[in-house]
Amino acid sequence: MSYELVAPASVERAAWQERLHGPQPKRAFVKFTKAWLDAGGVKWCGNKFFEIVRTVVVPYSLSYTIPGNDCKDIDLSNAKNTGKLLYPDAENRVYEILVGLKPGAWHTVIYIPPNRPLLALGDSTMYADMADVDKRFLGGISPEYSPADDPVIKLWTIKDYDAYNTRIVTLSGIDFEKCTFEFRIAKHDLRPMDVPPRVYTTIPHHSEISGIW
Amino acid sequence: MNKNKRIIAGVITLSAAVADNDVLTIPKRFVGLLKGLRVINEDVANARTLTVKDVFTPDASTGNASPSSEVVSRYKKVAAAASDFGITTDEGDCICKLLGTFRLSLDVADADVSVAYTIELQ
Repeated sequence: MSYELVAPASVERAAWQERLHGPQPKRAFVKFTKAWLDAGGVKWCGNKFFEIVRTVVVPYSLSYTIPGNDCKDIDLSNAKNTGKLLYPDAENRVYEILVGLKPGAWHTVIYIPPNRPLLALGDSTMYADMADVDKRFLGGISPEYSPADDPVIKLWTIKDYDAYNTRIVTLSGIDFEKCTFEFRIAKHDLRPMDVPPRVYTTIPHHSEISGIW
Repeated sequence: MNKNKRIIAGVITLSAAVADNDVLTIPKRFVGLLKGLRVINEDVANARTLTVKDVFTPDASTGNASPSSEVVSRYKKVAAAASDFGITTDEGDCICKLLGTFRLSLDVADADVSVAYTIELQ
């Protein structure tokens, strides 16, 4: 699982023409980095190439009403009873999830594993801290940054991977806010490749992104 | 940007029995932006005052692990004189935001009062 910021200019926007039959779509390939083996212990995909052989996009949303100046943690994994089940349940499958936020007086901070902020800075104190008026927003993703109808945050999930937690943080000065995530979950079936393709998308392990550096 | 808007518009005749009238519940993944409110008071003798309320139970959060139901007044004192056929509230883009059940509360239960409303789901 990883995180990716999609530059809006490079996003292929769906248009009605694309839904009609026409030229064959391009083949698509992905590579999971070696860190999936080293840090994640994931043998089936670590340091390997795959072709995406089937894709279906599933829209989904999660919504919570919480008081102002408060927070709530949401576990996106398949953990029993507590997880929101946004992970695949089999190997050779990856979910590519665009995360959009509906408008409101809130933002979210992503953690993976649940106690480790995905986005932090180099100093050992520079990570999201709900008790600090400035660091409360450090690494925070707001509805303006990744709006529901044009999301720019992307998460990759595979079976049994570390749990993504998104912490909803509401602003002070409001009584309550309804905080809604809009997900577009692309389910990809993968076929291992013996010969590396020339062009592919690299999927980094979260340990290559998160932490203080 | 998605230009499509989901609009709910309707008219409700308020109850003769109770002052609190639950009109509709905003679907879970939306907030409701109350954009139009027209109060029609056919009571020839009495002026009425209407309050817009929002009723919901919050989700558990770090600050409150066991929340209970909330009734929040969103817009107060839309006054309608006796036999007044059109108090239209117009406060620009949005009168108030609704998270849960849209409730109209009269100062006194009165079936001679009806309310037309327009809500945009966001």
